[in-house]
Amino acid sequence: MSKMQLQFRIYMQSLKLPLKVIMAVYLANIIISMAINAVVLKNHDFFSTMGYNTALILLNFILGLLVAIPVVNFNMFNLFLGFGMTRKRYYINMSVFNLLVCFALTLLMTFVYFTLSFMLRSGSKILYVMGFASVDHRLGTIFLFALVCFSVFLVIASLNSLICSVFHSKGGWYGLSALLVALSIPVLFIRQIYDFVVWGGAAALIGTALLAASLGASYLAWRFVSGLEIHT
Amino acid sequence: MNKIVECRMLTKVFDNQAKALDQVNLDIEENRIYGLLGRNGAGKTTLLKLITGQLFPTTGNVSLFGKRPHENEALLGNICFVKENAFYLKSFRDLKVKDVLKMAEAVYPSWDCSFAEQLAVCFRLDVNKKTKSLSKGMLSAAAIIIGLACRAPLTIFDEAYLGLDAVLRQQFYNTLLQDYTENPRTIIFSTHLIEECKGLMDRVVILEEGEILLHEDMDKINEKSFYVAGRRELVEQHLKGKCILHTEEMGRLVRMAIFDSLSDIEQNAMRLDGIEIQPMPLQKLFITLTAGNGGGENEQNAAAV
Repeated sequence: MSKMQLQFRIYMQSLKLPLKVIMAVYLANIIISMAINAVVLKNHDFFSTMGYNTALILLNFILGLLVAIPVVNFNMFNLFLGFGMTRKRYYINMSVFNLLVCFALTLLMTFVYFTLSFMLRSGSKILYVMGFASVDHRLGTIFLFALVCFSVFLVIASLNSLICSVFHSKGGWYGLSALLVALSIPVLFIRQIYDFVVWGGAAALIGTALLAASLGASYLAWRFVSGLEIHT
Repeated sequence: MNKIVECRMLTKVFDNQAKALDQVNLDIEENRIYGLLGRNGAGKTTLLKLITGQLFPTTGNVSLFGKRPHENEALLGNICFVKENAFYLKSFRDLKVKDVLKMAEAVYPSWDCSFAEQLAVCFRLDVNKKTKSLSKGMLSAAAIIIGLACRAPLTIFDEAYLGLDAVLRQQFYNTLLQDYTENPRTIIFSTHLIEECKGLMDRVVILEEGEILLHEDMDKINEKSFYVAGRRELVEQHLKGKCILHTEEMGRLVRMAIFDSLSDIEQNAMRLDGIEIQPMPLQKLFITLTAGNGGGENEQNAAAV
């Protein structure tokens, strides 16, 4: 077993708990919204309801997971540094796993989103996300959707990694400040983000910009991690 | 002897301005067992973390096998640091103990699998149990098994026995000594249970407030630590020029703790004058050196040592 395999095993192990919690919230969400549809709104179109709910709640589930992963990973730093691993090795492995997770989640999101149209009974029910229509099955559209999803997921994971690295290397107050700064960015551009989520736009440009932002955040996180001290 | 750890003017100041280590110079030689002693907050764990590259020195430098330990993967595989709080092993959560031992096998090139299994039986550790369900004592046992079976050229036990009962602790000391005899390596043993562990120590380092008070071979310590008791004037006359650590007065009688060599001739002369000479246990020496109870005498004497 190599050190990377060792870390991957623990990585998957550590994901179990957040996965269980987020999955439980996800299932509860689906059940409640379906019950409301069936009992309160008297809408018995099961597949349609499930289709809509699945895509939106899946997105929340993915976002929850992307927030949880770096937090869990940074908490395992101590363990691995005590196990003969360097900061660099741990951080590179962690970044590779994060990339793989983002890739897998993108596949999942793309698959669910574009198969929705088959679940919806009536052609009039089209789900629009970031200007993409779930009934548009052209390869170019699917690829662009996947690219934007991937870049959004990656920027969330990278920013979260950066915040965690500040928390662990500089302490709680700096970490909290980094969190506030990270949260203030989407708040500042809330109108543009809303427009993009609803109507879409320059998807390729935004996707590329987000990928560049992820790289920048990952580099900064590495700078903090390289000076990380293990106190516990 | 080869030096495997060299600390030069090593200083560590934390963010809260607390000086944990102050210009420490220390050499650790190959294939010896070091006892690292010190009161709480003396800087023992900080020193060990600096040696293993987990902390960065504020000033000064550490070299391990002649190289800097920071971010040196090849070096880190040769170090096993068993920390005082084995609770970090609980981070493995659902993994069974046997899986954790397999992981250790992946990390340490000189891992002895059969020895690890043997130790698990010896410490009554159920290897099929999940790490999250282990008690404090069993977590310590698991960490100790890793520390012993890894046979790393530099193995550090930082109060690794927490939660272990007296029987298991003795078993640990016996196993450590036996395995060390068969597979010599450098072991640093940080402990508060001085009397229990003194039989293991080859060389002793005493830290106090971030400075090294004593760095001496155990044999030399035994040759130099004495209690001398008798009539005040006679004791003072015989011990003139010797390093006196502590004096207790009982009327006309005194008992002095000294850290200095006494030749057979000197000892015989004292005995003829009715002066009693007793060896001072390591724990008493440690207390005498480090108990800064407000009186400056101990501190001055410690500085003299």
